Amino acid sequence: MAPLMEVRQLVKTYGSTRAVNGITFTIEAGRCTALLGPNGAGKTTTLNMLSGLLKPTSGEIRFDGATKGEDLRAYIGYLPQYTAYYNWMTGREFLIYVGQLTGMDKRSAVQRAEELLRLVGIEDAKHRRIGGYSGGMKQRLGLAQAMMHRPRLLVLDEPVSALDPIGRREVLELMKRIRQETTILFSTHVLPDAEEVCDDVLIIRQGEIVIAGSLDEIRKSNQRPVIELELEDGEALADWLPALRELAGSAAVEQNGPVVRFTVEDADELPRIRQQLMIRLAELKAPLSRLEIARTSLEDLFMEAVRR
Amino acid sequence: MKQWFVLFRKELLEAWRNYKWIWIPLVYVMLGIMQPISTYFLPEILEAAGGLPEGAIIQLPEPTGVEVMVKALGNYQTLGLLILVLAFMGTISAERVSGVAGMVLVKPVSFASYLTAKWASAVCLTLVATVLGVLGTWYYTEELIGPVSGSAILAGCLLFGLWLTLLVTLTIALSAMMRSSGAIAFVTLLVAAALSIVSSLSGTKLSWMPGRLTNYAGAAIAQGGMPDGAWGAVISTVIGMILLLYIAVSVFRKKELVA
Ligand SMILES: Nc1ncnc2c1ncn2[C@@H]1O[C@H](COP(=O)(O)OP(=O)(O)OP(=O)(O)O)[C@@H](O)[C@H]1O
Ligand SMILES: [Mg+2]
Repeated sequence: MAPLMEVRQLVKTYGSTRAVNGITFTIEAGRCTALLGPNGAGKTTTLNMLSGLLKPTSGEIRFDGATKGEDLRAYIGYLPQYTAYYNWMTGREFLIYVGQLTGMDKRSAVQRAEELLRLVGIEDAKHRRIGGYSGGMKQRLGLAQAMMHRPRLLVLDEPVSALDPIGRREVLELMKRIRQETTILFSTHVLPDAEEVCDDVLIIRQGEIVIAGSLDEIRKSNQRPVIELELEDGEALADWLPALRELAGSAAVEQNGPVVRFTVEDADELPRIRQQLMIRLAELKAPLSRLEIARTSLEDLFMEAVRR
Repeated sequence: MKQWFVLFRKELLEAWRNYKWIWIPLVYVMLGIMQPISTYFLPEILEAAGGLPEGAIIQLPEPTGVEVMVKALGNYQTLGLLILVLAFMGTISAERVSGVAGMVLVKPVSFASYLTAKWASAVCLTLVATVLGVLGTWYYTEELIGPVSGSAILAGCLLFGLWLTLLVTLTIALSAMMRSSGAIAFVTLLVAAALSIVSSLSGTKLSWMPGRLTNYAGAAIAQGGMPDGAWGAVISTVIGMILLLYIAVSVFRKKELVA
């Protein structure tokens, strides 16, 4: 089966800044994909291009079933990072308006609006002016308006970033329900959100995709052994560090206070490094308080990917 | 077309909810009727002001109904135009700045419909305000000053309404192309002034210029019907409006909807 959306070499430049620098990815129907990246990575710029709000400097966006150059707006529902409304309308009026704009007749727009107001949990406020809504309520209304015309792809730009912990929980639960029916692409800058609702991640940094794939695969293929040791006396560590670095071989050594961390790139090297490390520590009579062999988590991978 | 009416209805509703449908016609009626009323009471006003020396005989020329009507149109030409420009300068630019234009245009909405629905709503409001203002003024003029023929009013109203419509079209077209409300208002007023000046300097030449519409409106009231040459100006104005809308849509389509 062809993917729902195919993006090739998408570029957006602002003067000399390359906000998005040639990204390529595909979105499979029925899956949930997280576009993960730190502030300024180019998430909003990318999503704005997919939704048609920004014109790509170059590159290609293809949508399953759409002819080349066709207006993709009918297929996509978009929740921007910062929502804006007609503050004089009520929530219900806005949804009906949006529904009618996308070609629904009045009756089905009303019906769909009521259904979505219930789904996103702002039914009580539906007859109030949007101007009087809280940020969280506007976010929920934003989710509802993006879904009005039953788009085949739902694009959400940081749907939970502006919410309090409870609101965040609720919207994530909502997204889990929505993903049963609709393909979702959403951006976030924290990994747990992605892990919670998604199958796939695209990690983006400075306008480029650095890691892409399903969470399971990435987890498996990127797990590397980590040796972590902690000394009672952090001050003295500086003296021993060169000696420890020496035996690390290809492993990356990082110091953070009294903790030293060896990330072993080649898992076969683990036994050697472990053995030599223990001998060395014994020779140095290092005041060891903890020695642990673990595996890199996805969080480590993410931090590494975005920091590089 | 169905989508266009959805957009148009929203514009009418918005103008109703923020009271534009009340205050703009009200301002036009007030600006208009001010003229016959103040003319009628001028002697009393001067007396009450008490500024006249003892024994001075003032010879106020008795104004005719036509003169008063033409003066009233003059009020629309200045204050009335300013009101319209202020009311409509943010029509599109404000929606772009707030981001709500992006919320709407990310739906499969045609740029031309989005723009022309706003334009049509503003034109409706302009024409209704002008007609109500002129009718109110006509009523008071006939009551207090003197008669003016119905055909004169009809022709004058049509020509002047067209002039205001042209400037409202310009305001909205600029609103689609520029972001700053101040700049939009400034350019519109500048163009209005330039059009008037050019047409008054060009004497009998360029009789088809849109800037002539205000002169023709006055002439129409004076002579009780469409003056010679007015149709040329009407046609050039209509063509000008179509061009403005076409340019605005083309430019707007190419604009990026997010900052
Ligand atoms: N209109 C613009 N003009 C100039 N530079 C821009 C513009 N929009 C975005 N950029 C630059 O492009 C880069 C990517 O911005 P973008 O908003 O896509 O980041 P983001 O990943 O959405 O970040 P955040 O998490 O803060 O929302 C940034 O470096 C930003 O400064
Ligand atoms: Mg962003």
